Amino acid sequence: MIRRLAWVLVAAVPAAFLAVFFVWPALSLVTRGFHDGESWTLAGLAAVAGSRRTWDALVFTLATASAATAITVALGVVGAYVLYRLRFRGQSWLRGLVTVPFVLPTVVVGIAFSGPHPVAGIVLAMVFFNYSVVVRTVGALWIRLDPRQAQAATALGASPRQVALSVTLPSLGPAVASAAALVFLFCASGFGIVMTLGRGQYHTIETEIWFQTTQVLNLTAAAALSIAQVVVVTVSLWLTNAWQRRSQAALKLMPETSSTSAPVWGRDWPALLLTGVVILGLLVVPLAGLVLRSLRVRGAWSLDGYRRLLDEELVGAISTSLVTATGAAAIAVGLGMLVALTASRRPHSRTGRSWLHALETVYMLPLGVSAVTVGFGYLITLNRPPLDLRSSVVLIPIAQAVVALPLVVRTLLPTLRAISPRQIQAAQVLGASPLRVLGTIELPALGRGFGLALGFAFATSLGEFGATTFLARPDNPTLPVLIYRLFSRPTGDNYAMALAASVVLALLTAAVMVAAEQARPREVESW
Amino acid sequence: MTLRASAALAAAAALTLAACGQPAAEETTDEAPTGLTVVSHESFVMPDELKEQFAEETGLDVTYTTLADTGSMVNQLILTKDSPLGDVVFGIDNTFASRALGEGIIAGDELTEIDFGDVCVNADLAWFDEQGLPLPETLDDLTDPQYRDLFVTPSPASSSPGLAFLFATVGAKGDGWLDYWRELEANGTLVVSGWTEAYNVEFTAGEGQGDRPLVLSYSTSPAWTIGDDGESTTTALLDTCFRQTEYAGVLEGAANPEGAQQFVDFLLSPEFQATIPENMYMYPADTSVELPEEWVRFAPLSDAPIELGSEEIDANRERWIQEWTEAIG
Amino acid sequence: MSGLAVDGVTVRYGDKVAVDQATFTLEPGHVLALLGASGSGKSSLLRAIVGFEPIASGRVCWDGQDLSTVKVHKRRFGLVFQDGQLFPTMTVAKNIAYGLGALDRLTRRRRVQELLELVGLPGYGDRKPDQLSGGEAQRVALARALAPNPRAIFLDEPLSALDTGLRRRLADDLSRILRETGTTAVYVSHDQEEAFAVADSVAVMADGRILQREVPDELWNRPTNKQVAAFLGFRTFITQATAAALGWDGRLEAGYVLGIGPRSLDLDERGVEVPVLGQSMTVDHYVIEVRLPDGQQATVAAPKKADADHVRVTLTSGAVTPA
Repeated sequence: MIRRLAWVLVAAVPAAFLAVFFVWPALSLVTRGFHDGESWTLAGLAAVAGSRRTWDALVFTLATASAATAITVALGVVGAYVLYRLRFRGQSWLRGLVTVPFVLPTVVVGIAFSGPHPVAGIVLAMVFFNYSVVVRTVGALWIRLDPRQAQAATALGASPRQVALSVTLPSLGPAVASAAALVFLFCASGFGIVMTLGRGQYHTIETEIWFQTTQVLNLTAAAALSIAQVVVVTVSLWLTNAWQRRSQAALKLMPETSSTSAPVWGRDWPALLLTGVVILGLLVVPLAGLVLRSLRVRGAWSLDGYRRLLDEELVGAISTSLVTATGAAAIAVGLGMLVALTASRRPHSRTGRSWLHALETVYMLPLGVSAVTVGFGYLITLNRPPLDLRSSVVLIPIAQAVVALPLVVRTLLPTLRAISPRQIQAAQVLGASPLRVLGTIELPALGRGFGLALGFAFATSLGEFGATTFLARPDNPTLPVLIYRLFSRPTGDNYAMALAASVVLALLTAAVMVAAEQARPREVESW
Repeated sequence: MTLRASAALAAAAALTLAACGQPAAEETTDEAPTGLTVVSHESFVMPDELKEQFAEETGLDVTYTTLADTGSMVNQLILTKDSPLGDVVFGIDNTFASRALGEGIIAGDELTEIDFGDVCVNADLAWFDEQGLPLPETLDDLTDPQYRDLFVTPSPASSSPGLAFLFATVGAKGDGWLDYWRELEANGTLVVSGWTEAYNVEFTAGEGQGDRPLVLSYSTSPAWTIGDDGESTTTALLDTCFRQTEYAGVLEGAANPEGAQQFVDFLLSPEFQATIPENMYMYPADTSVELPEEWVRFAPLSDAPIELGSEEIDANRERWIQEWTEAIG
Repeated sequence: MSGLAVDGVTVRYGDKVAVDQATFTLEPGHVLALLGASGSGKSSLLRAIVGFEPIASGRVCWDGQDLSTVKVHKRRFGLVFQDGQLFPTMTVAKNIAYGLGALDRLTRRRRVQELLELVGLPGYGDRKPDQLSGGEAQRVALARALAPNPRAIFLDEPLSALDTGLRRRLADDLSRILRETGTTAVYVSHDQEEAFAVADSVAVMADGRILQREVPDELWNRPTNKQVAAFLGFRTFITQATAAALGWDGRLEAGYVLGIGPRSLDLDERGVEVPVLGQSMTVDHYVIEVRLPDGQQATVAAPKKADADHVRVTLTSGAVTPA
């Protein structure tokens, strides 16, 4: 009983944080939409539901997110094979490289994909962003899959294709489901990509919420769209959770590297070729293009953009970004550890387990709810002491921590779940109290995921733009905000400077991720 | 409660508020508030020397708060009018002014003009010279087949100069504005998401050296394309301009209305007005202020900008964007 | 009463009954083997006693005290898993000292030394678990479980992951260690030989029920029913008449049959001639399959291959089993 109470208290801290800085603001803004100042009404809702614009946005969101998810998963599974199941020189560098786009700000990525048709550009940019999510999640499982099942199938006369379809892919199911869920969430709630590439002609639910909220203050429409968004997100999480659980047949996992093999050209050329093309065409070319363009000033090669950036607010912006990201990472990792500890409990009762599943889902929601809704929600909720934080410096790291929290939880949970229940039982039988089990078994395991979680949280908030711009904030900008300002300065000669600042941001986030990668324990690569 | 106790409480409350970067609550104390919160959009720039000068002159502790773009800012101020985000706002423009006034967020309904600028079609002079084509002059010229596939504009639905251009077409064409856009489209007009994509990626004279010699930009843009010979390589088509005016005003319910008014006055001071061209790329409202030399030579204002009333804009903004999206999107 | 008392314990997983009203007592200092095929419920029963499985009905008592309200970590039991479950981040010494609690450093170190010597691994204290072989890891796991002087220790198939030769040696060691330390123990196994080598008494489980609990000799000679007999290797049951025909000098009471196991028939020049149906080889002997006079089949262990189509055998022992 006391133990349960203790866990309730542990769970209460992050829950309170999420309630105050996410649920309450978002809910307040949404309920405003159903209140016309005097009474509750659903009249506005009907108008929104009847509008073609709403349905277009909904369909476009689902269509692009589904297409991008399908393409990302297909390419990512092949990439996971090449980067994790095969073994060759320079592999770890490639693994690092594919992660860079994930933490790049969308403002920067948009420019790189503005060439093709807007819809194609949007889908490609989504794939660019999320490729590493699939590669890492699936690869981490693949590398530890017992190769003997595939060998058994081969011995029974199955062709490599049959083995892949009947044995290997089904075993990868849980990882594929988990990755697909995340990719879909990121795609369905992507704001920057659609704003930059959609030319105002293509709308997703997210950009529609932005338009209805910030441009015309039609809160009813925004509320209806927010509800639609939460429904889409919840349904997709629920579906992938079910998929994940169903495919979670007892997998026999091996230590890493026990089953990797050197590439065999005759067998592996399609996978090698496809992954090579994807990495080169989808990742290297856009990134190189960004660097090259930052070096072009008035048609000539020049470091002018970088030089002038130094005179400008660069140093200030970097330090603002670093300070903010440090705060955000500290909050997100601190709370994420509490959430992960709570969610990794293993209750006997079925209701207990359902509660924990629900808890996990709730902490994923910030990924799928519009930053605009939350940002505007802050304005009408956090407006009274002691919580008058509307224009306080602490609100930005808090808002960024809300966004980073789901990733932190997803990084830390596997380290705790990887602890064999019998390790804990062994300690218990030896007389260890729950507190001692926590201190001697669980915290050391958690500690090994700590570096990576910290890196993710740090990099996420370093590149965070959406939530940040919709907050009232002090006028010293973060790096992404500075980039946005430079891009929109109507003088033409700021372009190289804006691109240079983007390169600086990319390098900064990449450096953080590489450092975090070094601290990565072997078993936590999946989300 | 004794008088002393309540004074202590009030002081404590004031402290808490100040700590949160908020204007001190005025009604609980007789002394004049010492804090001031300025709300502006992303493009507001005030040099540090002037910030210090203002603080010294007034003895106020000023907090500068930034909100995203003009539209977001106005709407956020409307949303928070029961407990305002600050004391004074800069950056409400003529396209949002009537909404701001209609919602009663400005004290005394008094907006003060601080700066203004024209959004116009720009042309690459070198390109037209090379091709031997005459420069287009009017909006109608843009639909002329000889200028086919030459024009690029940011989208009205995602960019504020793009929206200004939409207002220009409504002002010039009235009810026929949408037909005009259809003609633009038929004549190969390219719509991109933002100003930087249009100017820096697609425009022939921009950084990206694209292939469109006509771009929707600002009347001041030619001042930044001065070639080696000291002449600008681009020009603004002054018959295609829509004028944007930016205002400042004291917020209704401000904790420090006197300080707020002092700030508005400061924005009108010659010292501040002189910094506007260089930092905000707009013309100062005070016409006696000396402009940069390049502006005088290459960035003239339109003498007949296209007019469209603030009330009409406010009443129709959403509908126009929607109609534009459906017709052109 | 003193020691362990398990009284009508039932364990359910959803609708499935894993342990069905198990009842037994265990006096201090005794070793009980729970013997059963996989899925017979023996591990579930063990986990229920230790406190890891919720008990649907029944009680577990120690020295007369009901343990249902005593948390696992306060029961002062020891547990050895099939795969050791040593803490991978700690050294062998730290693993062993984990359950020692608030002792001073010297006493702790001495106790760890003592246990390492007891399990035959002196000098292993500074190694990490991943530097140990499977057998060494199990020895350390045993030392870790014994270190806090538990009231009883529970061993869940502790040797089944090891290879055969090592298993037999370790079983003997285990038996010696448990007896030297006077430890009360419950030993779960599916291997009769292992169980008989270690335990003072053996309880046979099937389908969640305890079928019989006896000292090894008695269990071997008088299984309580054919199911137990079959589990012990007595797969052919013959009547008094057939037994006598095969040269058996015992007598069966009415209602009993004699179970024939792999060691019941001996080759004997003066015995009864039976036809050979087939033969196979094991590590150290041949197994000759024969047809008994009543038509049933049985096996005979032989030092060499039979070269005729008949052999002569005598029935020397068997399990007296209710018919």
